[in-house]
This record gives sequence, C-alpha cells and structure tokens, in this order.
Amino acid sequence: MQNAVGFVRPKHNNIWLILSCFIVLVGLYGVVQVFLHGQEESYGITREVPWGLLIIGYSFFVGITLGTAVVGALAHVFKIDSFNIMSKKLALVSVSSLIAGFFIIYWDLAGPYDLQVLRLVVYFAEFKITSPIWWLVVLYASELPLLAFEVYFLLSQKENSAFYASLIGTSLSIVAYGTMALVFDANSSRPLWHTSSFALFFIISAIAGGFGVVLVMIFLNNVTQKYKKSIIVLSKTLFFLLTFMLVIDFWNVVINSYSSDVLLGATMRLFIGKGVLAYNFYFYEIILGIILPMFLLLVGRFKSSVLAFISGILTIVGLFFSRYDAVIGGQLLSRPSESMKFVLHNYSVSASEISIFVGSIGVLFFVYFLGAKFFNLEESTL
Amino acid sequence: MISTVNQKSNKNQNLAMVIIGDRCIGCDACYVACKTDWDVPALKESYRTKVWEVEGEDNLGRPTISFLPVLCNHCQNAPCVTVCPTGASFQREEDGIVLVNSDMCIGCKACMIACPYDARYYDEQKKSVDKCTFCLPRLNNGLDPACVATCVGGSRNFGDISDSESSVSKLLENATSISRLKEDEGTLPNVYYITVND
Amino acid sequence: MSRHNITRRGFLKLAGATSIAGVTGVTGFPSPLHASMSESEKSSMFLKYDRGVLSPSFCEMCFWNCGVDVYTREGKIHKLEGNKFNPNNNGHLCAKGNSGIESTYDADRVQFPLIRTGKRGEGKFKKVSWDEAYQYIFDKLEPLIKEYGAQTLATFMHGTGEPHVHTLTKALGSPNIVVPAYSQCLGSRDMAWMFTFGTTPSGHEPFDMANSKHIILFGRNMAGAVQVREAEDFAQGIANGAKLTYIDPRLSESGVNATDWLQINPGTDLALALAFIHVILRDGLENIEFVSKYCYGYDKLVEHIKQYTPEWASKKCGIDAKTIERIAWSFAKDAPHVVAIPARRMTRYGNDVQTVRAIAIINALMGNWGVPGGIWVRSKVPVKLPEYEEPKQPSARRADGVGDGEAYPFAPPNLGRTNGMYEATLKQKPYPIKAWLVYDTNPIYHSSSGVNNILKAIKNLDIIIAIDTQFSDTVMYADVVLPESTYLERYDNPHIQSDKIPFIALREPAIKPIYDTKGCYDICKGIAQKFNIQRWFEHPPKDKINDLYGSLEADKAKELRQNGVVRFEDVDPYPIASGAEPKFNTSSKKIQLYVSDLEDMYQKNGDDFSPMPIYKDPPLPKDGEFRLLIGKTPRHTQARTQNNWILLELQDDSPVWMHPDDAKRLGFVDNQMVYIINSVTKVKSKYPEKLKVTNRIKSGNIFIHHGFGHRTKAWTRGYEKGTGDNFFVSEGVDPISGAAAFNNGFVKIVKALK
Ligand SMILES: Nc1nc2c(c(=O)[nH]1)N[C@H]1C(S)=C(S)[C@@H](COP(=O)(O)OP(=O)(O)OC[C@H]3O[C@@H](n4cnc5c(=O)[nH]c(N)nc54)[C@H](O)[C@@H]3O)O[C@H]1N2
Ligand SMILES: Nc1nc2c(c(=O)[nH]1)N[C@H]1C(S)=C(S)[C@@H](COP(=O)(O)OP(=O)(O)OC[C@H]3O[C@@H](n4cnc5c(=O)[nH]c(N)nc54)[C@H](O)[C@@H]3O)O[C@H]1N2
Ligand code: SF4
Ligand code: SF4
Ligand code: SF4
Ligand code: SF4
Ligand code: SF4
Ligand SMILES: [Mo]
Repeated sequence: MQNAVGFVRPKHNNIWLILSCFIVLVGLYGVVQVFLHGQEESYGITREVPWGLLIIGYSFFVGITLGTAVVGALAHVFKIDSFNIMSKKLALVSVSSLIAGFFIIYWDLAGPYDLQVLRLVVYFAEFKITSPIWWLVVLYASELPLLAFEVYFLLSQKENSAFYASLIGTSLSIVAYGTMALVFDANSSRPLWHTSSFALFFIISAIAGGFGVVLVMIFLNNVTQKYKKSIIVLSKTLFFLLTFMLVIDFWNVVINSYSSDVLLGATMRLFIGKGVLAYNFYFYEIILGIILPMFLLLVGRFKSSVLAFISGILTIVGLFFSRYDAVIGGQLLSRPSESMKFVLHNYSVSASEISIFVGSIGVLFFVYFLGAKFFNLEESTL
Repeated sequence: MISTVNQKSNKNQNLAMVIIGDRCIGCDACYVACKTDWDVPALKESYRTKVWEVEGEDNLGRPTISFLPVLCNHCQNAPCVTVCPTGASFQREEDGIVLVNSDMCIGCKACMIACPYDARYYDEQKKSVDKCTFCLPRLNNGLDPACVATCVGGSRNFGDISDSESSVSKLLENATSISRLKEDEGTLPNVYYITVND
Repeated sequence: MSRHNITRRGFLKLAGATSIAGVTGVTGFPSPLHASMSESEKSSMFLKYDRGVLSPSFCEMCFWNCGVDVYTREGKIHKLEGNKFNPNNNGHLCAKGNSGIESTYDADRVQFPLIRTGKRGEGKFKKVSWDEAYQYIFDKLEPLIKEYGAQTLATFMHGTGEPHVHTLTKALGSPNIVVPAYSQCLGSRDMAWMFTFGTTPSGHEPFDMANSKHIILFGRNMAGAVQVREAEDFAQGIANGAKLTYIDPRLSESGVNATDWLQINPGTDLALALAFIHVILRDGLENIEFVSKYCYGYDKLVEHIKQYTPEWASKKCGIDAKTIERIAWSFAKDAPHVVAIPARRMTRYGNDVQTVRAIAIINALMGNWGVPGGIWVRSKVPVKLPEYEEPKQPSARRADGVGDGEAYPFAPPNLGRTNGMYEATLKQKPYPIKAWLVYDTNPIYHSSSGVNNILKAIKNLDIIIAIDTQFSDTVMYADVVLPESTYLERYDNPHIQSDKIPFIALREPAIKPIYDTKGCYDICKGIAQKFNIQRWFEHPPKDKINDLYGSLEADKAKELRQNGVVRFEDVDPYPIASGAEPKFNTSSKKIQLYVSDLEDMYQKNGDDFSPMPIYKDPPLPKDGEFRLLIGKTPRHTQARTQNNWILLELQDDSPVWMHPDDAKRLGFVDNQMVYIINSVTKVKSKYPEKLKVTNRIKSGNIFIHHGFGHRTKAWTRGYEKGTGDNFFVSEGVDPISGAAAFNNGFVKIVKALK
C-alpha cells in the first residue's frame, strides 16, 4: 500500500476530518457577525484595547508552530530514538498551526470582505523596515513554504533535505516569533511588553508548548511504549522549561511591581492581589499552566505517559492564558498625562471573537487531518 | 518644563496647538465640533479630541478639578508612523502633520498600540484607523481647526511655532509654564500645554 | 534583551520608495501606483474642504441664542459654526450648540400632526392633517371658552416662537400666559435686582467678568451652566488674573480656577452675603462717594447689618469668620472693578429674593454700576424698529396669583407663575382651567416640581395642545400635537437684544422642513383661522425681516445681510466711568439698599418681606435624609437634549453625588447602584442610578444633574437614561416673587440589589 515517496492514502477514518469541519463551522458565527455588523460591533476590542482574542489567538497558534518546529528540529539534530515518525506529524502540526494563525489574524485586519489585506502586497514594496509587522509579514510569508518543504521532504523520505529544511525553518520560526514579540515589545508606551524578558519568555513558553504537543501526540497515537525513553527526555526538558518560565514570571510580576517605572509597576499590579488579571494569572497561567504540570511530571517521575499527556495539555492551556494575560495586560492601563491617575480599561471577549478562535482551532485540526488523510504519516521506514 | 520648540530644518512650518490650561472650562464644545465636522463615527470611543476632567486634592486634602483637552500630538517622532507596515500612517514634511491615508490602511492597529496617547481609533466606515488631522482640510482652506474655532474658553490656539511672530509663538514666549504630555516617551509632541497665570 | 529605543523618524527615510506592481481590481482597492506615493500625494485626500452654503441663524439649543452660521452641502446641513459678529458668542458655540444639527436629523422627531388615540401618557396617536388638527382644537376649545371664558386656557411657553403664541393667547382672550423662565428660573433673582437697581439682569446678564479683578459667584456655575458669552468673559477674566471666589456646596466646573472655593451650607448664602456687607460697612470699605450719590437707605442698612457679624454667619453657613473677612477685604480692595454674581436659576430655598437682595447690595456698596469690571448698563437698539398692532391685554383676572391685589403683586404678568398655574389647574381655583397650550417647554414631568401633583392636575384638563419639535414627555400627554419645524428649518422674528453691544440677529431656514412640520407663526395662524382671529397674523417672520431691512440705514442693512447680525457699538456701557448720570428706575429713583415698596407687606406678613434682608434658616433634612441639590451639566440643555446621540456620548446618566463620609455611614461604595426616595411623597426612582462618591459635595447633601430620566418611549436613545430630579425637588415658593423653591427637597438613598 505504499509507493516510493510515501504519499499514500493510509487507512483513514474520516471522522476526525468531519469533526474538525464542524469546529471550523463554529467560526462561521463570528464571520457572519462581521459581515452583518462589522468588526467594531462584533469584537470586544476598543480604542484603548485594540488587540484582543484574535491577536492572542494568533500569537498562540504561531507559538505552537514555533514549539513544534523546535521539537522536530531537536529530534533531527539529536536523532532522538526513531523520532522521524513523530517528526512528520509534528511538522504537519507546525504547518497547520501556522495556517490557523493566518486564518485568525485575517479576521482581525480591516475589511476582510474587501480583501483589504492585499494592500499589504501593494505597499509592501516600500521597505517599512522600522515596522515590526512588516518584518513579521516577510518572515512568516517565507516560513510557510519552508515548513511545507520540510513536510514534503519528510514524506518523501529525503532525510537530508528534511534536516536542512527543518533547521532553516526552525531558525526562521525563532526569528519570526522573536519579531512577533517585537511587535509588542517595541512599544515603549506599553511597559509590560517593553521589558528585557518579554521576547525570551515568549519564545521559551512557545517551545514548552511544543513539548506539550509532542507529549500529547505520543499519548494519542498509542506509541507510548515505543517512545518510553523519549517521554523521559521530553518530560524532563518540559520540566526545565516550565521552571524557567516560573522564574521569568516571578521576576516579571514580583520584581517589576516595584519597578521605578510607574506604569510598569502599576501594570504589574494587575496581576497581584485583587488585580483584574490576578485570577487568570495565578490560576490558569501559573498553577494550571506551570505548577500543576511540573508537579504531575515529578509525581510520574517523568516516566508516566498519562501524566505527561495531562501535563502536555495543561502546558498548552497555560500557554494560551499566558498570551492572554500578556496581550491584554499590556493594554489595560493608560493615562493621558503623567499628572493623572491611571485609567483601567476593560476588555471582554465577545462571542464573535470566541467563535473565530474556536473556528481557528478547527482550521488547525482540519489542515492536520486533511494532511493525515492524504499523506502517509505513519511509520514508513524500518 | 521646556522652552524650546522642535527644530526641523526642512519644514516650512511647524504647526502646533497651544492649549492654555487656565482657560479651559471643560465645556466639551471642542469634542462636538470635531465630531460633527469630520463625521467621526457615532460611538463613545471614537473621537479625535476629548477633555479629561481631572479630579485631585490640594495640600489641605480638599478636592480640586482641572480640565485636560487631549488630541493627537502630531509627534515629531511619531511611533505610530514608525510601526505602520504600509505607510498609511505618515508625517507631512512641510508642516509636521501626522495623517492616516485610509486607502492604504490594513487595519492592523499597530499604530493604536504604539501611540502613547491613545489618540487613534478604528473607523468601521472607513475600514481604517483614523485620528485628528489638525483639521488639514480646513487649514488648507484658510480656516482654523474646528475645535479651535469653537473653543469657548479660548483655551485652544493654533499656528506655526517656527514663526516667531505667530500668536502661538507669542503665547509660548509669555507663558508662565509650558509642558507637553509624556515627554519621556521621546515623541516630541506638537501640542503644548501652557499656563498664563502663576 | 535591552530596551528598544522607539526608532527615529529619520530611520524611516532609509525606506527607499520602490514600487512593484500589485494585485488589484478589487473594488475600492487602490491602484498599485500608490505604492510609490510621495507624502504630498498621500495627503491629497486631505486638502479639499467644501464649506457649502451659508445661512444665518441663532441657536435654539438653549435660551441664550448664540449666533450660528449654518453650512449646508447639497441640501444637507453638515456643520454649525459660531457667528463671529454675534455678541452673544463671538464665533463660539458650546457643546449643545455644536450638536444642534441633530435636532433636525433625529428621526425620533415629531414628523406630522398627531391626535391622541390611547390613554394620556400612553403615547398612542394617529397621524392627521394640519387642518384636522386645527379643527380638533377648535372643536374642543371653543365650547370650553363658551362655558368658562377664554381664561380657562393657560398657555405655557418658552423660546423664540413665544411672541406668536402670546398673540394667539391674547387674541383668544386669555391672560394666563406663563413662561418657566420666571417662576422656575430667573424670577426671584430678577425681582430682587428690580427692587434694588430698577432693572433686571434678565436672560443676558450684564456682569463684566472679562474686565473684573475679583469675581464672586454665589452658586452660579459660570463654567458648567454654559452660556457662551458669559463663559468667554469668565475665562477671559481668569486669564487676565482676576481672583475668583466660588461659593457652592459642590465643586462644579466653575471651581476649576477658583482662588477660594467656599463650600457653603446649602440655603445659607444670605447669611454669608449679610456678613460680607457687615464687614464692608464695619470696616468702611464701601465706595462712600458712590453710595451717597446713588443709593437709598444707607443709614438704615448700617443699623440693620450690625447683627450679622462674620462670627454669627460662620455658624450658619459653615465658612469661618476669618475667611469671610479676608474675602470681603480683598474684594473691596479691587473695587469698583469687582462683581458679585447671584445664581441664574435662583429658584432654590424660598428665601431667594432676599438672598439676591443682599448680593445686589454688595455690588451697590462697591460702586461697580456702569464701570468696567462691574455691571454694565445695557442699551436698546438705537433704531426706530417696525411696530405691529397687538391684541389688547385681556382684562380677566389671572389664575396664578399674579397681579395687583393678588398674592404676588410684584410678579410680571407677561411672564406669570408656572407653578401657580399648576396649582390653579389642580384646584380649579380661582376658576376652572380646562385647557393647556404648551409651546416649546416641557412642564409635564420635567421643568417642574411635584410631578405627582401635575399628573393629577392634568386630569382636570379637557385639552392639552402641544407645539414641540420632539416627543417630549409633555407631548406624550398631549391630546393634539403640532410639530414645529426646527430652528434650522424655519424663519423666526428677528432677534433684537438690548445689551452692552445691542444687536439684531436673523434666522433664516438653512433647509426646507424635512418632515410635515411648520414654524410657530404658521401654526398659531392656523389655529387663529379656525377662531376667525387671523387678523393678528398678517406679518409672517419673513416679512418682518424685510420690514427690518427697510428700517435700517443702508450700511447697517448691508452689515445685517452680510453677517446675519447687525451690531450697534456706538453706545456707552460704562456711563459712570465716563461721567454720565445713570438713571435708576426704582420708586426712589436710586439704588435701593432699603426697599420701601415692601413696607406694606412687611407690616402685614412679617420678616420674609423685610425691606432689608432678614436672615432665616432654610428647612433642614431630618436624620437619615439628604438635601437634593440639582444643577445643569455642560453637556446637555435642561430636559431637551437627552436624545441627542452626540451629547449622550458625553453624558448618558446622572450619577448621584454623595460625600465619602455619608457613603461610609450607609455602607455604600463608589459606582454602586442606588435608588432615590422622596421623603414626603415616598416616590422612588423607577430604576437604579449610579453613585458617585466624592468629596466634591458637602456631606448631608446629594447632587444630580437636571434633565435626565425621560419616560417617552419615542426617544430611542434617551429613554430612561439617567434619573430625573423632577420627582424629588421641593414644591415651595418664594413669598415675594412667587417663584419656585426646588432645593428643599429631602430624599433617602437606598441600595439597589445589583
Ligand atoms: N425639576 C427641575 N425643574 C426645572 C429646572 C431644574 O433644574 N429642575 N430648571 C428650571 C429652569 S432654570 C428652566 S429655564 C426651565 C426650562 O424649562 P423648559 O423650557 O421646559 O426646558 P426644556 O426642558 O429644555 O424643554 C423645552 C421643550 O422645548 C422643546 N423644543 C426645543 N426646541 C424647540 C423648538 O424649536 N420649537 C418647539 N416648539 N419646541 C422646542 C423641547 O423638545 C422640550 O420639550 O426649567 C425649570 N425647571
Ligand atoms: N450646559 C447648560 N448650560 C445652561 C443650561 C443647561 O441646561 N445646560 N441652562 C441654562 C439656564 S436656563 C439656566 S437658568 C442657567 C442656570 O445656571 P446656574 O444657576 O449657574 O446653574 P445651576 O446648575 O442650576 O446651579 C449652579 C450651582 O448652584 C449650586 N448650589 C446649590 N445650592 C446652593 C446654595 O445653597 N448655595 C450656593 N452658593 N450654591 C448652591 C449647585 O451645586 C450648582 O453647582 O444655566 C444655563 N446654562
Ligand atoms: S499622538 Fe499618537 S497618533 Fe498622534 S502622532 Fe503621536 S503617536 Fe502618532
Ligand atoms: S492600522 Fe493602518 S495606519 Fe495603523 S499601522 Fe496598521 S496599516 Fe498603518
Ligand atoms: S484639530 Fe480638527 S481633527 Fe484635530 S481635534 Fe481639533 S477639530 Fe478634531
Ligand atoms: S472648547 Fe475649549 S474651553 Fe471648552 S472644553 Fe474644549 S478646550 Fe476646554
Ligand atoms: S449657549 Fe450653547 S446652547 Fe445656548 S445658545 Fe449658545 S451655543 Fe446654543
Ligand atoms: Mo433657566
């Protein structure tokens, strides 16, 4: 049942593909709302908080892209035991997540029904090298084909080419994600973002998310026996990354609360005590997203595939909330002048935004399962 | 406190607004004049200028109030222009006015994020980010900006501060204090806040 | 990573202008050529500004009537600008004035004549033709007039169309004309001024703040209760370095540049003013030359004022004696270029005439009459204007207690007592009032007190006729509604104003009426025709404008045509400064420190009528109650603009201001929702309102802005926004003027569950 290049239709259950279609359909609600009422009315974003769930979603999806790409690359580089099967799947997740990211950001840009995004192409010619978003477009536009090539090489078992594609793709991913961080980070007007650890945290947490994805996939693919050793390595690495994140988070919130920068100090206080993001931060981002997975990994002594699976899920959820807290937190406070008190703005996610976010998850699954349907991702060598 | 104005050699003019703090009575006429002249969307958060009522306390603990009119500062170092990926946000060489060309905007809102003054809003009708234009269309037709023309307290003044004979230059010269918003952002605003009394 | 420097603008120049051809063809999509647009090309979309066609008008968004230049593009009004030549505003408009376009383009307007089909207040009407509406009025009113006499008709009016409604009412034979501007607004202030100076501050106050060195505001919110020229003068005075003493239990907008803010106990301004007079006279700070030349009753005043020491006053008004002395001295030091200004809506505590009397006396003692920085003397338009014959004043007795031998003999019959008319309607005394004609005012529900009683009173009415532009709450209760065209769609009589610079302004329609509406003149004429009294309607406003042109000299006519305003600057507002003899139209022909006109009533009725003010404590709230203070917001006019979307953006509620100590005692926190309960009637606000906890209000009082809480469902935006003061203000009267006293309303505040 196998041709030379492995582009073979495996026995495949269409159920997942159909299910993901349904998830995509959830997004239809938001998309229709935008068509009928416009973005202003459909989204929860405001003048003071112009970036909401769609941007959070974008940074989450491309974070997954980065994370999975990095894990894949590590597998290549360190030749972790017969990892290439997972590599294919991981690479496909990478691509799918990137496409989901493109999908969600599209709905955040103006005039989605007028293809207004094409203006980017028209005015692209002027090198807007001072604009992080311009670079973001350049980098992600080049990343997608690279990742696609990687998938192609893996499928066609061109190990060497795949190796290089993965390496270049992953490096580009890191640069792109760093630029993504820069989109936030470069704004001196938003001191929560404008910190020394912002980009680092963004990248580390995304990579942790990638490890989360692998652990989940190992479990779901029923290959836990085979990847026993890998699970230990992956779990330990994840544990290390989570520790690292905990340190940065601690530093960010606790130390920066006493920052001499008034706005930074004030913003940080959103995360402590009765701060509006405190629950999100402590419960979802820290406890659920960092401490609990660390604890579970320890309890399972890095061997338990079930606990690794749960930890992986928690890490991914934590990644989402860390993006939420960062993106929203950075915008919640402002004041027109130094002599005034801060104004606490409000951002509440709208149904349309949620639906588009869910729809984007659907897109991720859809692309993945479409790939799984047409390509042979299963064990092909040996 | 600053006493010098922005220096920019290749500008013919350095247009600026000079707001006299002691004269603003918080009447909000400027808000409405601006909204009606420019068809700014009917939405609380869409405005090009607004007036903050600032409540405070004096050293005896008694309440005080003051008014702070805000609008786009037409920053000489405009972060909104720097971050714009399409060039929709740009600054005019000849007078320093910062504008958004709505035909070029993709609505990424990076400029809204970059602006330290929350001076911009998304205009659903134009499908573009928009903001104060210093009333360039009016200026170009010999009129004062709408908010200046209607200002009941005579708080808002407009003109070319590179011309030492202009009324705004005179105001800056004779002011008892001069400040601009968030100087430490390095944006070099072209909206000045002055007082005329001690 | 180190902190990024936001990259310099210069950096941007590195971005060379290169262009590639892009995809295009999508609608609204720019040509790829744009990719290399220069900055000036990019700004080309910003260079055009079509001002459109100009029509002259004056503002009707409040009663101040600023000059307005109306600009119309392709038949649609796009912008209102202040008329530079109009002395009421010198080119500026306030927030409400700027938002005036919405008066016309608000689709919630009354669009055609209506006759009620449902119950009163239910808001069910049928569309009728103008003739049907007039016929309906005739069919209902004619028998009532036959049965009860024409005086059974009471006419409430306010606004530019007043003269036509006045004519109609007189021609029908009723003397019962009431204008809220008197008994709900200026009445007590103007009467006190009349007694003292023989003239009133009137609707356009003559306080020369722009040139003042010290301004005292007795609860006059000059910055927040905006009337443009006054606000300009106020800002100018402050910018010139004038001292400002602001007296108010609440820190309003006017406190913004106050040298001193005196947080007075409500209703005690009289004590403070008397103490100022005491210090002035005790320390010999009065302008004795002026006083001896122009004032009457000085010796009596010196004697009378001895009892009112600063120490005494301090106990009453809560301002310490030292401060009272300091301010009196400082004020007198800058005399005569100083001015002490009473509130404008001086319908507060029932001691309002006497309070303003004391304030007037302070001014008199400073000798600031006819002097820059003091009180200017207004002049009439120095032109012989066209005159038109008017029906004679009906001889029937008035129903509202105004007139010789009545309870309020000093009240002007051409303004009447709105509150007196409510009472007459409620009690059907002294004779039956069966019909109301309501023009341009909103007496049912809003510009009133004791709404419960009004709702009862109108049950006695066989017909309520409303002439309005929008579905006011009064319109909802009307039996027949005659929609007036807005001020941007109609002609009106020329606006002729005696003032520092007397002037005449024109109002011409900028656009044709967009609905089936008419100007007030045409409406009154339409009614008159049914009664066969149309001979009083032979000079439509448009003709009057033409007649006016005819009576002006060529250069003045040209000025009017060009500017929409003609000014007469060749007058002297400062006669005393320039050595001319002023005239005082009082019974003693002098400024009256002592008012002998009141002697009779003083004998009969006691202290309240004293020829020199005698202090009396205002009624006080009981334990657990608050006094309700009310005031105007800069963002709305009375109860008429709360459906205007632009103004609603600025303010769409009327938070209940409460002092932190009171809030703490009650366990309330900022922003929580509360109800207001009237302590007397027990009426509770229909829905909760937000609490604003602030030390800007004196403990023991609460404050809300007037004008909110509309119950008219036809207002799609303004319906039930904010809480109205109308159910909670008090129903008292000032015994001298007969004007209302709103600020003795006592209320309880209770928590709303969520
Ligand atoms: N409870 C309470 N009562 C008050 C006050 C208060 O503060 N509290 N304030 C008092 C004061 S100071 C005053 S001056 C009075 C004012 O009292 P009103 O004169 O009654 O003032 P508004 O509430 O503005 O109502 C005016 C009405 O005129 C209508 N209108 C507006 N423009 C036009 C027009 O061009 N033509 C016609 N035909 N109608 C028009 C509006 O729709 C509205 O229904 O209220 C007094 N009453
Ligand atoms: N924007 C706007 N401007 C307006 C109007 C409007 O509706 N909107 N209405 C116009 C009209 S018709 C009028 S009559 C004027 C009214 O003009 P004002 O008379 O100046 O206005 P108010 O807002 O009624 O009251 C002013 C202040 O009096 C204070 N006050 C209450 N009780 C006392 C007291 O016992 N002593 C002292 N000293 N102060 C007290 C209140 O706290 C309030 O801040 O405004 C005019 N201008
Ligand atoms: S105020 Fe904001 S929008 Fe205006 S020029 Fe400065 S950064 Fe740009
Ligand atoms: S929203 Fe428009 S103007 Fe603002 S940065 Fe993006 S493209 Fe430029
Ligand atoms: S200058 Fe013009 S665009 Fe800017 S705030 Fe004033 S009126 Fe609005
Ligand atoms: S119009 Fe002038 S006085 Fe009024 S709020 Fe605006 S800046 Fe202040
Ligand atoms: S004060 Fe404002 S509302 Fe009143 S007439 Fe003037 S512009 Fe119109
Ligand atoms: Mo009034």
